[in-house]
Amino acid sequence: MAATSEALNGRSESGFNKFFFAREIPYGMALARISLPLVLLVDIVRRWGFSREIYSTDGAIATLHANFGQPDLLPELPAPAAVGLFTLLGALLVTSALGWRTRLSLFGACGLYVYFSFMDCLSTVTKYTVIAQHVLFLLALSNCGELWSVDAWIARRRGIRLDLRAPIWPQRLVQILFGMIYFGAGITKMHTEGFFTGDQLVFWMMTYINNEHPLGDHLTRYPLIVSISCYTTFIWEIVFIFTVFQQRLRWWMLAIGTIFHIMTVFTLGLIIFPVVITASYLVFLSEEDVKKIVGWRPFRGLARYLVDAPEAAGQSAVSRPAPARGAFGSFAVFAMTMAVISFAGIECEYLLDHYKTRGPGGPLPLLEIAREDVERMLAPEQPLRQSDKLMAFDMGSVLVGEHLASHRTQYHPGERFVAQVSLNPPHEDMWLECSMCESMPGEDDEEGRLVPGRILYKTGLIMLRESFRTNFLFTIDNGIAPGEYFLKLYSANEEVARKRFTVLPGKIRAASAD
Amino acid sequence: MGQPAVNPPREGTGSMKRILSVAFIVCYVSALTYGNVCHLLRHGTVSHTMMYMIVWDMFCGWSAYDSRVHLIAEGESETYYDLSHPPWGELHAFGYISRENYDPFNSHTGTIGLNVLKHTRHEPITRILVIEESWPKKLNLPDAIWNLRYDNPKDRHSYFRVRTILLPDGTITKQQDSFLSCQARKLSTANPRLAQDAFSGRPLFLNEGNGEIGRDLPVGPGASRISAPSAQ
Repeated sequence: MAATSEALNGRSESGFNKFFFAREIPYGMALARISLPLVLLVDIVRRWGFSREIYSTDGAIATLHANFGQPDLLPELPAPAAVGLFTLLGALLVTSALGWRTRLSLFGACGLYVYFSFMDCLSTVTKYTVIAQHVLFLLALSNCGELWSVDAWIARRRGIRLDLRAPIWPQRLVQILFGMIYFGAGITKMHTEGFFTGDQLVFWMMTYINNEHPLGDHLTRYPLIVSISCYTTFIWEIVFIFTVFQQRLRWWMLAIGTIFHIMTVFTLGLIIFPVVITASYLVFLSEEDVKKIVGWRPFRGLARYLVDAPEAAGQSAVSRPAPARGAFGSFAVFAMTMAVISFAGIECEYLLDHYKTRGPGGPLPLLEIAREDVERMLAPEQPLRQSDKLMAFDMGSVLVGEHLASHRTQYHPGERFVAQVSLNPPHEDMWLECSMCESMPGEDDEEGRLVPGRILYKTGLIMLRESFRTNFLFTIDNGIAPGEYFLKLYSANEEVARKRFTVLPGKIRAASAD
Repeated sequence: MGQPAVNPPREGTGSMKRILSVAFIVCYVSALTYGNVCHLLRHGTVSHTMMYMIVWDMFCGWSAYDSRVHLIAEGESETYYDLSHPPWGELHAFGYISRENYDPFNSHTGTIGLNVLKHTRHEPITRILVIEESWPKKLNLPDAIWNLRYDNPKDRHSYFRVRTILLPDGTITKQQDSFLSCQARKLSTANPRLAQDAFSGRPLFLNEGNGEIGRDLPVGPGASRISAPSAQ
């Protein structure tokens, strides 16, 4: 019947059928079902102790929908209800990973996660929570719970042989979701001024609102590398959806994606986001892929966990006695367990007394602030210092695009070099002066460093408000003896930066600005 | 007995399941496409909260200045209290700063301060202040990296700006734009010709409800009120 339908509808529907309705054992989805809820559980556990404060009317709710002008979109719950449901969310993530009442667990976890995300736009909702919610929803639509799960174990004990092969459309939709996400992220980058020059990303690397990111700190010195990475990322994001379904390119795209996301740990200090994405990438594994991977020498021991054929499930099913109906696998037992966990959560949270209002000294007193700190905060606003308008003052000899390819401080006679000024936006139209000074031999500063002396040359230019960086070009020529020199940058007659450099011995002596 | 039981096939449900599956596939892919098209055209991306679920604007831009929010309360004795660090501890959701620092529009920060007041012991409070501290991000660099790039010593200086002043009942008595918006606005006022044109073109009558950016909002009937923590 299916074959006849296929023949009648022609090749295009055949392709559609093959793409969405091929029947496979959902190994990839099952792996994602096990790993993703456990990753999300980290976030849930960290927030559980604060659930009264951030999700209930006994705290400071900051709803996402209020930001969208829909303050009444979802009901705000009193503390016991919010805590109980948040505990339930954690429990449902655990049962999703275990595969106990998998579909119900995943639907429940997804719904509650969406609710709590909407209730807290400050410390819960991010794009990775949204991605996770999409994936949980699509996992719930799949039959991922019939593999490596409590449900499968119960079915085997009851002697029920599950049909593990099912249409792969939920898995395909997760894959398409990732393609769309990356495409959207690429659009964002197109819209973001200063992204492709790397400046936006450099500022992100200097932002400390996530975790430590040592590689990012170093990369701020090399905006050219960051700029090249930006172009590479953009191209990869845009082409992802068109290439990830092609057999030859699929592994390359996924490998680049995995490396890209792992690198965000070291460059931007993101942790949960890349782990969520990497866990979700498991949905790109097809049945054939898993069989191939298990065939590799390091993974051969895992072969026994593959449910290769219905016979395997059947053999294991008949070898065990079927328990009485209504035991561990029944809905009533599941519902009772969830209810007990939720009520236990409410009781525990109450006993922990988050605000410490019921203890011997409760409510706790407010912490005082030192008067001088308050005076500093409430002092009249000051204009920006000239030095704070400067982002960087760098020297080098090779310009690629608008970036210095290398940072050098030693030059031979006859060489040209660039002194590059980068400013912090926003800034007004500015007049910048750059002076070249000789060093004062024998007159060091308090830290024993050389200090600039007589000005040898001075030049200046106007930097318009829309400009981010500008260059002063110099050529070492006759008149300058080998030795230590300085470049000093002035704005509004105030020195904002200086740079020391060395002129090496050579034939030509002197410097002039172009 | 030798053969295990198999889930019985459900007659007649196969075609219906397939129709529903195809319908869902079409709807889901259409929703994702709609989100991306809106994002591409910059149209309707904030028309509904659910748009947040299908618009993937994960890189919204980062400014050159870092900022932190300070929540302080002034008591009747003119003693100031710290509301940013409540005595029961604070949640560091994504790193090592608390949740009021993730409120770029300053929409919920006052509520956080009022909640701390509600659950602590203190003298009568006269006002709550939301203060933004800002500094250039280059000063965030570790000293080792700083010394590799900059010849000048690191000279840390913060700029403070009062964003909001609230009464203990949640009434906003003063509200200002952010440090960054203020700096951007100063660019236009730094142009004397533009400032003169704007001054001479300003309407004689104030348009009620459109508070001038950077100036105090009126107290009284026009004063807005943020949601105070309600009793449980």
